[in-house]
Amino acid sequence: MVPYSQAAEDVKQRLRPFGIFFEKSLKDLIRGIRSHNDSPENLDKFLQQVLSECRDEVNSLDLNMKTNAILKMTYLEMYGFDMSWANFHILEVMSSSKIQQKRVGYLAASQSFYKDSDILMLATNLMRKDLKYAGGNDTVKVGIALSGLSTIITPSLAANICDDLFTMLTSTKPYIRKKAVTALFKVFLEYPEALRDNFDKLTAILEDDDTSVLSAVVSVICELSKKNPEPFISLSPLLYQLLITIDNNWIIIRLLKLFTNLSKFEEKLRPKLLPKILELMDSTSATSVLYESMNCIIKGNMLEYDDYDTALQCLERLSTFCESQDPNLRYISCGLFYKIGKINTDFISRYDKLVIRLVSDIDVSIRSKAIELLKGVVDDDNIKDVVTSLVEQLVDGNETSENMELETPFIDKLNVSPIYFPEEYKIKIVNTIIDICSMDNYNNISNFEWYNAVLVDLAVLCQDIADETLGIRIGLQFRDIMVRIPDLRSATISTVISVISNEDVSSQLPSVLKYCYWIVGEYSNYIDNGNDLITLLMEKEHPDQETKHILVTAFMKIFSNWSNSGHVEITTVKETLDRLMTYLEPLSFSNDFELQERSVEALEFLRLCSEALEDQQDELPVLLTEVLPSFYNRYELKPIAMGTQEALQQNIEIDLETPFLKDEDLKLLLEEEQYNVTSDNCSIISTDSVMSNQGKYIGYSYQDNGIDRGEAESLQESRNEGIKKMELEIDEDKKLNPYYLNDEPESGLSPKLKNNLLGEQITSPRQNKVSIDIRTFDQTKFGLEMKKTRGKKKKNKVKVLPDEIILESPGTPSMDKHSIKSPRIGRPSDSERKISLQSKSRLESFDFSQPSTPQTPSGAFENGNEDLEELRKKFAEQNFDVGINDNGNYSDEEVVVIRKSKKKKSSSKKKSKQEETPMLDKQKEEVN
Amino acid sequence: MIHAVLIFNKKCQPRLIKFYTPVDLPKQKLLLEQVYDLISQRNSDLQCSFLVTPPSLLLNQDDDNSDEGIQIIYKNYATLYFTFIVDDQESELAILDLIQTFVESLDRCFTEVSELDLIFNWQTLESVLEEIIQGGMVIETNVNKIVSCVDELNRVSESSESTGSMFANSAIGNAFQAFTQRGFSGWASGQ
Repeated sequence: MVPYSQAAEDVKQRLRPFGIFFEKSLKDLIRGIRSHNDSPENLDKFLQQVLSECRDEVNSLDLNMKTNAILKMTYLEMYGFDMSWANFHILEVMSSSKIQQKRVGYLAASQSFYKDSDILMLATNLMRKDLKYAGGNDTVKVGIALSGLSTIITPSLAANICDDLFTMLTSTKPYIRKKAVTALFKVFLEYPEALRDNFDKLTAILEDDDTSVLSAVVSVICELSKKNPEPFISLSPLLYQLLITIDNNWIIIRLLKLFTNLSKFEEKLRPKLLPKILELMDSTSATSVLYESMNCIIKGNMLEYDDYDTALQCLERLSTFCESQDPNLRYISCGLFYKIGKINTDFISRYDKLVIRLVSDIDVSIRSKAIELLKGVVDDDNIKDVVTSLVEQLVDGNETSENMELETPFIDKLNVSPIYFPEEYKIKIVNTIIDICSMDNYNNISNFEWYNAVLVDLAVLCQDIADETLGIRIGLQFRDIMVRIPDLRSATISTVISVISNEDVSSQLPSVLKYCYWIVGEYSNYIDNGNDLITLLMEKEHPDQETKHILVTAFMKIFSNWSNSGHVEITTVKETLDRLMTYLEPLSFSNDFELQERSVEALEFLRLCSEALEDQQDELPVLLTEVLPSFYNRYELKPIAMGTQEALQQNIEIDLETPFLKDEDLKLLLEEEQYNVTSDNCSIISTDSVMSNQGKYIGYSYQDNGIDRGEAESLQESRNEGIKKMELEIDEDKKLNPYYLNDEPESGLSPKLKNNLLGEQITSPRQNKVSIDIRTFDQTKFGLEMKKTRGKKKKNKVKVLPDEIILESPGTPSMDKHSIKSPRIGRPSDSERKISLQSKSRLESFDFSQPSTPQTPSGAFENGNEDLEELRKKFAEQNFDVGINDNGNYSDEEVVVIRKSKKKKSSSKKKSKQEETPMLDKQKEEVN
Repeated sequence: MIHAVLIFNKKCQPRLIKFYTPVDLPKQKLLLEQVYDLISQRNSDLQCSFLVTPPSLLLNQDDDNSDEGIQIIYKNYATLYFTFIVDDQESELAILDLIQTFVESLDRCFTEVSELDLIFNWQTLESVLEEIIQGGMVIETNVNKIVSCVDELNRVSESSESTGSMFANSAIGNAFQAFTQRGFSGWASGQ
């Protein structure tokens, strides 16, 4: 009987002439991939072909061939091809009686079973079988199954298998013991009851003689204690003993990690642990143990706020680590430094020199860490050095970084290759500079002219960084300085104007302009030749609507202050007024509502002014001298704390019930209105026509309030005519206007004018005339305050206004000054696209205090068995279907194709030579 | 815990991808590319072995909580990058030692291991890793023990059923012989 059934297999072999050697082996596959590597398309084509071969082969009844196909597909998963469709075949290979085939099966299963709950259920029984230890070669088999168990585990499997695993913990073979204990970790995650019921068995392993087993069990307890530290507190005496006696560094590090977890949870461990860990730090010679000891003290909350002794012991060692040649040591030490500084900044404040040195480390990663430390170490003495070195880095980062590299001590010059500065790092630098300077209401800054210059430098340097929040931050800084430091306003405003007039900055970093415009508008009383400023602003291109909103209001403010400054001739006022109106005209048709509203408001008011000017030839009309300034100059703006306004608004009671007008009043008003309509119309027409007569404004004037459709066309015509005429007029105007700046050589004034706006450094007397004069009348106003500060001889020579206190209610939200910092951009916030490596486990919230149940609840699993039968059937059918479908058209859905990106051509010879370079050689040299 | 081990060369060709925490295939692929992009910008001779800016895929929504962070630790050997993605329960320096142990074990298996060896012996690479890390936990750090475990596994043949002998002198018999004599790795590459 047996020979016959075997013969049937033989026949099958015979029907495939020349045997199985025509199937591709894994080696052939790899060779094929290498020879098709020239283009992604070719490779893809080849892989598709291999995959379809695999689909055929995997359906083979020959288990050997099936195994081969599964192995190839497991390999191809690395290239992004999903193989979960073959899960049933994998299961078949797993159940093979041949160990090597079983290995292939388990390997494939560990990669593809995780999300297929059906197949996991089927695998449960198989794995139970494989985990039965029967002596002999079974060590290997059980080992394979245990490895598999660590990746393929379900709650039901865990419950089923845990007793077997606990039996294995008493196996004579350390190999089995270490694998079993490691597999138990996953079992506990899925089925915490097992841990509760067998806690003693687990702790017994802590006395194992074999280092590997001991290491494994400490690792398991460490991981478990991260999820739920509570049950392990009781083990601390035992673990403590282990820490004292053991001399294996791997295990000591693990124990330290474990104690970190426990100490976070149970503060009482600290008095006992801390001395021991400090002792360990003194006695050990291993850097890694030393580092982990400190890590344990800090992360385990064992370093108290006022424990200077311990902090200094750690910092002393860390500072030597930071001097190390090994960049890894420098990097992780920086991380610990930061954590110590977070506990109490006083701990690290004396290490300013070290930190400043680390900020210019050869390794950008270390710099990046060290930058975070700066907040803890800057003071008013070193801030200039720190900021200067950071700005230099930005400059170097934008160009080549050669000079800097030659300075750094850790490399020989031959080996220099340019450091790549990631953009994140540059952004971090800019943000850090602003943070450390504006810290504590600019407490560290004694010289704001210097800080202004830094901000200008930053604005220039930020041009190449694609993060518009930086422009916003710089703009906000300017605004803040302007508002808070009254003594310096005249200096700051000239800085701001120089930023505005810097073409590069305003085109590359447009987000800063909004704030600059606001500043020159609000504080235009510091500017003498406002008309030139208006001209400058008119010529610029403005990045977005929001900036234009600010601009319109800024124009009005500048015009108001300038025309009232008392030394301006009326004709110049008129000219400027006309130009402003011409400028605002098109904006008042903007489809941005806010912009339209603002410009229409401004325009209408200016028209009134213009009219009034026509009437009064020799002095400025009241509209300009009284009304316009009253719009803007009523209050002095003061800094208030973030959130104050919100708090205020909450307290305001608004009466929405009482009507403004009683019914009778309303009626009366409406009647009056009707009566007035006709006369109103007349006035509108007259206004418009007056303007067109003046030739300043030629638009289209409505003849009637109700326009018929028929008239619309003619209206359009007249409008076009009007616009043409207007354009002509503008051109005329341009020629006549000596202040109009264009590219023509005749108006040679323009470049000079521009320069003059830039600042006061220009020396030629003629140019000085036009340059913006900063008025000094405010000196008297603030003179008192200045005297005060000087008398006190405070560190800060300049008075910095603190936030005004308006509300002292406890309800005021105390927000951090920078908490609104501007949203982070550039990172996709799509959570679906993220990888979460956090695995939720029932263990985290498992209550270990419950009495253990004598037996595991088995009802659920019996149910599972019924399902199992159904599943088997289902898979058997599926398998059959696949076999039929197999003759070609396989649905593409099952295959996820991911194209390889970027393939550089290179001669294969060279490639293989490179690949042949031994990996360890280099390393060995380094080690020796 | 160790979440993933990625081995790839300087052209971003994968040599081994192992995830101990389930991650969808397309995301695995994307993560590999992101990690590669970040690492290839760095100068391994001068810079430390830690990726400071994590790939955007791994960024949490509330990434201020960087204390609990996932770390990417890598080492460069000749043309290959050995990259470990680990959580805060692993010691950074210990992982660096572990990578060294891993490569030393491979070196022992191949004698002077090079990328080419690992390309054509992917299954050995898998086996060695399996003896070092099981389900994201380190189970062995002793090179001798690791190598002897791999040997042990490969040496084992089918004792219970010796089907191979049925096909002596036939094609499949040869295959089985290769299979049984040289074990898993011999069988896979010998065909």
